[in-house]
Amino acid sequence: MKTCPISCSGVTYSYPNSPEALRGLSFEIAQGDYVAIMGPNGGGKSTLVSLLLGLISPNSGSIKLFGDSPKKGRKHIGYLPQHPSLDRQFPISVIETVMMGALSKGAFTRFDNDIRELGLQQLKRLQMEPLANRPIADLSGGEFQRVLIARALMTSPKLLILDEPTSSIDQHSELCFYDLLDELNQTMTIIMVTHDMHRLRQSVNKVIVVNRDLKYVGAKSDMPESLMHEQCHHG
Amino acid sequence: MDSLMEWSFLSYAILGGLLTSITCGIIGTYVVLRRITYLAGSISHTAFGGVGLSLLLGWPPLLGASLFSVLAATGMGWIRLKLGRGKDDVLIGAMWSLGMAIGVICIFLSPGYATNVMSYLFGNILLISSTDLIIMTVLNGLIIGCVTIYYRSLQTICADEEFAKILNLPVNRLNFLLLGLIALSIVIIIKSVGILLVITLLTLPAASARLWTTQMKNMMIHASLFASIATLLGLGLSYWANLPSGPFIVFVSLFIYIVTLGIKRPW
Repeated sequence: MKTCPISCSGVTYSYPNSPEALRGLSFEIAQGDYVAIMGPNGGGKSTLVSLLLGLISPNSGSIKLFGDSPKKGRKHIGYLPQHPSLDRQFPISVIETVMMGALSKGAFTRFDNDIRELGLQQLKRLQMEPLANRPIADLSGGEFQRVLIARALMTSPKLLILDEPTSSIDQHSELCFYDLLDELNQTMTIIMVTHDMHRLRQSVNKVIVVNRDLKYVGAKSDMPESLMHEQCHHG
Repeated sequence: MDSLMEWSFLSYAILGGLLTSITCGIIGTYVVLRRITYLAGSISHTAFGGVGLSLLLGWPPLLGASLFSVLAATGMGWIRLKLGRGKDDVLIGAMWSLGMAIGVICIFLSPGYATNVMSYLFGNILLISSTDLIIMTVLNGLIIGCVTIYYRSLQTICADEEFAKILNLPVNRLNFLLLGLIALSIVIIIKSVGILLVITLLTLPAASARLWTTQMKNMMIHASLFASIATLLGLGLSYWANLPSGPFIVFVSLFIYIVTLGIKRPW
């Protein structure tokens, strides 16, 4: 029987002086799942990700990540944001960016040879090793995306969360990216926020649809036709 | 005898200038990359309140300046934490004015203030004493020590604060540490260029360095080098023209930046 590393129970959240962004969400995600979180713009998808990451706390209800609160459990998460907050013009090389992930061990961490070796391994996994010493400012959108994944993998995460990961890359990079996710799903749980129903792969085994309320949780194939049509329309 | 005295002044000024340049290179890099020039400017102007209070109470002015700078940095860090980045400019501006206002009142109440005040407002690197050199060395050591220990963490909060939070780094404490280091560096720089011109040395050498390198560590080294050139050349020019050193240091810093822009053309 699969364990449930993520569980949400009656989660409600509203931003200050705003109506509820999410209302009473309850669902579970099992180990090894490949989950797509879908819904219209403004429906609360990114808010749900922020809650899972412990960047904000629910007004009511609870979230458990690997048996802990999100703030404690997020050490097991690798995260790829929709709009990376990493400044592309920051004077930093590809390998230094990837090694940032090793700071999960603590604020005093020094980037020694072992950490560098681990960083190079992650880059090799993503066919990015030759670019290790290049400044990040020189990378294309797809290459930058891969560097951020390599950085997320530095913590050896059990769960990878990706928020609209293909919004800023070309079609070829996108196909390669989905192949990579399929490969990573062999060893970790993946949650991907997307608004594009057409591009959901067969490997996605669970779909969660939110539009303030929880509209659907289950297999893609079991989704009601009206809801599927709605998601295609949003895409 | 006169030439010996003159050499003593000059050697103190050169040493002080070099110590100032190291600080500017390291901390200026963070100020430029974190885009907190306004905040650093506000901390430096608040230091004027400390100088005024020191003159009134008969304390060493750098002591008051240190106290006010650190308090201002802590206050501004707290305001930023509570209000969020981008919503704190009014209160930070108010602290800027408050520090200056306290300084003006205290100086008005102090007898025989004029010469001293001018040297703290506009700086006079030739007035650096052996005591100042000791204070500057200790503060520099503290800054270099902290930056060495927290180099990667500070780099991460400057490059990607959201990711730093996800890594469970103590982002708020690191932000306070950075502001504290800025406050200490301002105390070091005040003697060279004065409160009103501090921000030039904290930004222009680092901004010039940014255009020459794609590595943060190299940016610190380049910025220290540019600040050294500006300080020493500015000191030489002011000595030759028999005019205050602070403005000349600013002119050379600006010249280096404009030449860099001309060569690198970042637009």
